[in-house]
Amino acid sequence: MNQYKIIFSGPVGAGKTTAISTISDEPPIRTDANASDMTKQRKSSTTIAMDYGVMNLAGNEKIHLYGTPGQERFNFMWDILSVGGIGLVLLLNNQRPDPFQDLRFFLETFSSLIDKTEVVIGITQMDLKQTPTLEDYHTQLKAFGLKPPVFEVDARVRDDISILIQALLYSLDPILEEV
Amino acid sequence: MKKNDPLRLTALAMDARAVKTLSMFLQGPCKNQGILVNESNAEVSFIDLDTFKAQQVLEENLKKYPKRPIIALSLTLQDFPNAIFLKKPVQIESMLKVIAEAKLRLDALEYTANSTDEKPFKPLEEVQKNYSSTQINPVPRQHSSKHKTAISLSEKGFNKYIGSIMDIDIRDQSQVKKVYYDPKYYLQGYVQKALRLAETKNCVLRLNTGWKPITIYPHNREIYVDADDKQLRLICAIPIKSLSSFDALSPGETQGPSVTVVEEKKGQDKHNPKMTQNFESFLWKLALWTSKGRIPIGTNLDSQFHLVRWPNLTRLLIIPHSLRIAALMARTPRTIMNLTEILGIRQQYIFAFFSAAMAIGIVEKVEQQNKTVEISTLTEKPPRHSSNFLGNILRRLRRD
Repeated sequence: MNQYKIIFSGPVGAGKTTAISTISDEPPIRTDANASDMTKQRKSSTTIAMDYGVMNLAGNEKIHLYGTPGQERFNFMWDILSVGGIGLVLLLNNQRPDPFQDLRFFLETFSSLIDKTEVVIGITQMDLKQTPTLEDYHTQLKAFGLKPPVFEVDARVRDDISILIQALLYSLDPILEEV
Repeated sequence: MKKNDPLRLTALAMDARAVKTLSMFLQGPCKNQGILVNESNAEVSFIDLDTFKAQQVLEENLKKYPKRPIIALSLTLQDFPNAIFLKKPVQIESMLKVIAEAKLRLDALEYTANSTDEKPFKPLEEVQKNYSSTQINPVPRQHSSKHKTAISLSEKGFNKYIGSIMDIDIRDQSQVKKVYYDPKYYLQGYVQKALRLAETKNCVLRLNTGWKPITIYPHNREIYVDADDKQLRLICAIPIKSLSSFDALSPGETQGPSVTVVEEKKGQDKHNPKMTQNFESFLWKLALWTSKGRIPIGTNLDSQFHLVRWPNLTRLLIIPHSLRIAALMARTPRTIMNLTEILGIRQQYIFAFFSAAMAIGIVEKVEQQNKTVEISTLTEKPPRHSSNFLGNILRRLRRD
């Protein structure tokens, strides 16, 4: 059985917990359920807590949804979390004082995962604060040599998160077809 | 208290997410040595001193429960009465140690008996209700039309909504001619011109076409028209000239299209927010309905095009295969016919997507000599996971 994951990251308040809850088939569960997976990588990782959800797929397969804890006290485990990640869903809160700084920080933090896979970006709270615009984000992303999907999302709306993840899947493989 | 009873903690100055994380941490790695309860049922306060308003919350807590032990979480060592300090990052061992210490203090104070008489435990779900000021509201905000989630059309819905045309043989010029349309004769063309003008002049404009007036607000990139999608869709199919003669039934409104400057905010407060849309989603729709699965005149079928950026597909009308087309066009420049071949889908979907993307200005023609420069930074990554697995996720997402 595979241990593939989609990683949800972003600053505190960007909507990671909500997004995972929105799309998960099971309510987020406690973290020690996957501790054995991580202890293989590094023992200290059993000390942390994170958001976790799962989507049950046909043929008894699963895709795990992991949210990186936003608090800095937990950030030492992000590398471990990325193992087995098929891609990154980066959520940014447009109401934060400097969303571009957040963007740069998370792109740099997850650069090795992004290099190997793909990233999609969901901007939350755009209905409350319209700037920076999506175009502004694309301009910033150019500096990283990236052209990922950047969508306005409401983390509470299932269709928004679904479209964001679908965009991730098609970024991985544009020819992909539903099976 | 009994040695193995969970310590009843209340989390202070922490947002809902941190509360949940702490709760999971206590239940999981800490083997239920602690449990989160509401403030009045707690034996110990657990406060994150590094958060906004922590000091104020702490002072209020000390006033209310002067004898209650406090576990103070922080990156830097802090010292104050009654506090047991817990340094970030939190480790199981350090957490268990402070829990044990808090229990010892409680035993010494016999605090439990005095403070929690006959008060039943409340589950975490109930506790979390007390964090209403920081919790995420589970109900989506009432959005205006411009923030509404996209409508996704199935192939059947596309035919009903956009129309259906047959694939063409590009070697047959008579068939090729049929795939072109000229936006400038339709509402789409007039709206595009008026938008450019409003942005250049930086003033609110009203476009009068003999149909309903369309007001353009360049500052927040919004459009107001008192018409629903059904009305808009119908009007998109009619050339503007025909529209003028059609409106001859209404004397005094038969002049050709014109643009007038409108005093800013005049009448805006009377606008129905549901009829306000942003430029991009409005133009995208107009182009889909006007093109009906054709492409703008002048588009060379032999030229290669790519997307300069992805469209904001969560807020646009999504036609079938939009995500696949966008992913492919964002990755590598291709001819329109090449896109249809690779994806193996009806030309009409590609044409419609192309027209809508052109209308919002995100399609770029790639000159042969510039091609490598344009995409040099965008490396193609071979898929690392089987298409079956990814396709399985896709099916799950589309199941509901």
